[in-house]
Amino acid sequence: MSTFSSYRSFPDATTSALAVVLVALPFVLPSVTLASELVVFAIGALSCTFLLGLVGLLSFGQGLFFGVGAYGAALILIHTSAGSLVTILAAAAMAAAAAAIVGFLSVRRRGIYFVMLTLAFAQMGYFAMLAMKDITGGENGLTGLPRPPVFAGLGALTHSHSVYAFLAAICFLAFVLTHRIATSPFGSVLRAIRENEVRADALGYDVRWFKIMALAFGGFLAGLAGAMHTIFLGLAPPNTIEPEMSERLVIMAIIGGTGSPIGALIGAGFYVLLADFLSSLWPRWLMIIAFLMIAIVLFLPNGLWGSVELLIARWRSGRVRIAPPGAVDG
Amino acid sequence: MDKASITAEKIGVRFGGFRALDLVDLEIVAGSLHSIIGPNGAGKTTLFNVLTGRLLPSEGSVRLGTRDITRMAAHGRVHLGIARSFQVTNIFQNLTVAENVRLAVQAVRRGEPWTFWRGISPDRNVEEILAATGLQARAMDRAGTLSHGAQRALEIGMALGSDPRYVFLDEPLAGVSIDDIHRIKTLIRGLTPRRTVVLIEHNMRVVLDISDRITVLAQGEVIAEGAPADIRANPTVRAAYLGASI
Repeated sequence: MSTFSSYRSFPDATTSALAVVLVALPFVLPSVTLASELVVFAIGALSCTFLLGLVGLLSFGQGLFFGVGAYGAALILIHTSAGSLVTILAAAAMAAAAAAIVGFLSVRRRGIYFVMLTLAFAQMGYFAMLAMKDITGGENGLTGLPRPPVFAGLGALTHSHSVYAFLAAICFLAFVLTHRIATSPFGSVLRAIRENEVRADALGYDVRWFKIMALAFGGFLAGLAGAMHTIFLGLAPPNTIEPEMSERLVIMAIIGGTGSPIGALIGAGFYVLLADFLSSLWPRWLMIIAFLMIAIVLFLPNGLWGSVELLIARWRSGRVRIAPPGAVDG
Repeated sequence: MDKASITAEKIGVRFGGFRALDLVDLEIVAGSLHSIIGPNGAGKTTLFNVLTGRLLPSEGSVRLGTRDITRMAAHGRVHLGIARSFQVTNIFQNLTVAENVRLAVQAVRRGEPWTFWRGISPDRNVEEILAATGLQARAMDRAGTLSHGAQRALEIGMALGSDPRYVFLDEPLAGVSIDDIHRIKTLIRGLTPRRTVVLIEHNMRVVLDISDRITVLAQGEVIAEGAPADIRANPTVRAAYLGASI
């Protein structure tokens, strides 16, 4: 029905563009490992883009779920003989469960109080990891992990190219799944909650449960990224569960722009590549990232991708329509 | 058809030391058009909020038929057939008109709001509501770009989205142009007897014309209740509210 053409069709041109980019990355970038790192953080950032852009939830807890995924995958690799795919999916499911619990306790509060609660949980997760030294390895993390084949002994991940292909395939599916959810009836409810929570409630939607499930999916994505990080590195270092990880994922999402899932890929790509380039020039490179963050928030409130989309729209229609960035609320 | 009426018993609402509602009793008979009138600050919208679940009263109870729904949340009451519109236009400004109505319809489709694995399927009810509220031509426009009158019509359309048995309309005619008043009035009157309508409205000519029953609130208390003719003739009401307006 034409009435709903405002919902972009599924799958659309962006999906094919994403596939092309993912195939091209290892050939364009200086190294395959950099490409692998990029796709891992693209999914991590996607968890923030999804929550902030679609539901209007700013979660500073995504680093915790990234960490749960990273450590969960490491523990599965140590204690079981599961393949890489099962390991990643199981670890992501653990992160989703953790996010559902954190969500259950956090969505009682809105706005800045919700943000503070997610931040507090992220802090707590980091110290819990340090406290459970026997399981998590404390400050050393979990090292010397195997990298089993993808599934049932098939698909050996011995070469860095095959690792990238595996991670890029998961990344592609995660983006497609997110796009599917955003254009589904469930996604339309999340959008309604972002726009006007009181009205969504008055229409008959149980806003709390919709937020909890959205947070669980956000946790799933972050956990997926964390688990992929473990498979890629062969270890689970403490910085995967640091509160700074939450910060990094939010920064990537905002740099890229939260109006579209593609913003997460752009933001993660920008951050990872810039970090790679700048860190070789100057040990205090994070300062430059901070300056860029300030510049983007001040001058490109829709993020890099949002600004590109605006330019395309302007070029197409010849008229300017600037959508305000989604309100931040819990 | 379900003939359960909504009954409010000894409803009290306090905001700090201020008594917004004081022992209000109200029975809304199924299939009727029941108006609640009174001066500003009389507690009309507060009473609406208690009846539709936005506000938990300090005392008293709300029943639907024999079921106590005092503590039930607003979203839960929608699924029992209770829907409302808002006094201050409360729509999804950045979504299209059609999407605003569709979200209202979707809310009561079993399982649909949780469906995440496929796209949105069209719903015939959306077209019907758009037609009934005269918004078809604007269906694809952003709701925030509608005129005030059209936004009021959309408010009513959204309240009807869940196909409710009880519709609570909070000042649907506020700020509506003279040309649109008649159309919206006819729309509201046409909702009964299939639906029960509870109406807060300041336009006395319309209220006296279409209501079956009128409750008059003043300073949080019921000062009169009856058929339009009784209310018009009631000296207390004339003194407290109507004055020289009729």
